Amino acid sequence: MHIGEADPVLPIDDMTVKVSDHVSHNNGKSQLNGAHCSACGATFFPARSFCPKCTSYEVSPVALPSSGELYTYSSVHISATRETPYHLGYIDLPGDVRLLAELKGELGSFSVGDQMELSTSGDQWFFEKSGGKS
Amino acid sequence: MTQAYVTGAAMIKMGKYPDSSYAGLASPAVLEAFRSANVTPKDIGAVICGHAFGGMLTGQRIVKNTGIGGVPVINVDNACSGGASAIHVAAKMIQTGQVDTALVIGIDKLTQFGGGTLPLVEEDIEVQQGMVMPALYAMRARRLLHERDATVEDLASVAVKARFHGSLNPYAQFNSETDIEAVLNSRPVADPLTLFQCCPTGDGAAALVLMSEEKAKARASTSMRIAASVIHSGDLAVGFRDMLSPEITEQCADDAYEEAGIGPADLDMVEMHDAFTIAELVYYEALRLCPKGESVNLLRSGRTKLGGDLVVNPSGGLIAKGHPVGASGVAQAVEAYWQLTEQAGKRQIEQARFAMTHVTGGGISGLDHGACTIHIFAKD
Repeated sequence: MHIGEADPVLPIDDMTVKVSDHVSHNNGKSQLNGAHCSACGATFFPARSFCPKCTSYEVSPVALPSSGELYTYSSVHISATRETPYHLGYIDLPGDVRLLAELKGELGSFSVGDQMELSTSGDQWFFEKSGGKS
Repeated sequence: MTQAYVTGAAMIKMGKYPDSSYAGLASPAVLEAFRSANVTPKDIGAVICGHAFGGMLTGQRIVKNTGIGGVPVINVDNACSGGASAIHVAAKMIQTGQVDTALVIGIDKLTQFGGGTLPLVEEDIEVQQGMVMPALYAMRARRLLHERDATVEDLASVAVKARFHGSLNPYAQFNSETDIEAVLNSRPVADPLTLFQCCPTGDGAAALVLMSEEKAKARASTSMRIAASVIHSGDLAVGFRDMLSPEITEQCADDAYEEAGIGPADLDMVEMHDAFTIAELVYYEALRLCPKGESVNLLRSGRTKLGGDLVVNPSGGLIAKGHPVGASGVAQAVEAYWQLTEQAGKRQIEQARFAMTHVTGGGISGLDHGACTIHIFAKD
């Protein structure tokens, strides 16, 4: 059958995925929803229906480690939409996955190399320093 | 293939012009570029217009009132690389013989957004997480301070140098000098970057006339040759990325040097994408102006300040001259033209023969930047 007479190719409804959908809750534990490509071995976040590295559809959902190392960070003092300052950082998770996350904690308490842990509050997810919770 | 030459160049003084339309911003630059190149609108065989926020038919809205019609007008978006990408498209059209004379416009009007950070595409996951351009650069700066023998004073001295150069450039948005203390005491934008370390919000337009070698040599007007014109896009990383080694700029620079047949030591000046102070320190290395790890030493040496042998951002760069996104790549080429044709006035670099211009375009996750455009211009 030619492509012109087969079922038509349809778009991906990725706009229905909200930031809160990137985390799922399992027995009281939160986890980040990533995906793993069995064709090229890449693990990535957020989950997608095909692999952004090799374009294979052979991808399956995977729960990512919920703690990692703070690669770098900044406190943002200007925003039209958010309360300032807010803190952002890149977290390197085991398995070579980097993600940008909001950081919760005291201004000035972060250092490059800190161990950071996933945490949630309602629909929100963010990272805070491991052992930083009192 | 023929060579492409820039035979005329002009821009408006960058600044805040809320009362000007896109056509109102660009028309004076276009008319002055015609005069500079000694051409009439009827000589123009194609128009390439780079912009990011102009909306539909930006180029046509500008040139319909400057005597140009009928010929192809192509609008190019590549974020902050839009203007430089327009030069690339025009240069290729000339080199392949499609036209012998082309007009390039770079333009944007950021006052339409009323200030604040550049609006990014909300479809992007990092933008949804709160990413803004100052934060991205600030996180690079944090890594530099962590990995290198560098201080916030080093970051600030990039802005001090830029503002010194800007004080000598009547076309710059900022014409006053500053010092390290004032830079560090300006209000925080994204730690460790303060306001004076960030390019300002503003409006601007710049225009070039490009010609084939045959056309250019037949005229009396001064010209510079386009020795290299290279565009790269970013390469996706889902995991670790060294934020101090932007592969997009490194590879683009390597290709540009190869195309021009020169090396970094041959350059007399570079106009680079110093959207924030940290960028200049990262790009010293990425553009191979110094070995890895040596960028802070290169800055401290004074070689990149006017009077040095490798002047970086003699125009004041994005930090002092201003950064109306799509205009910047063309405005950098205007500075190169003025320098190589000895029209740069108080900031003239003596006997400049080779100039590099470099702009990136960013704001999407997974890439260091979306676009990088590098040109090398030669005085022949």
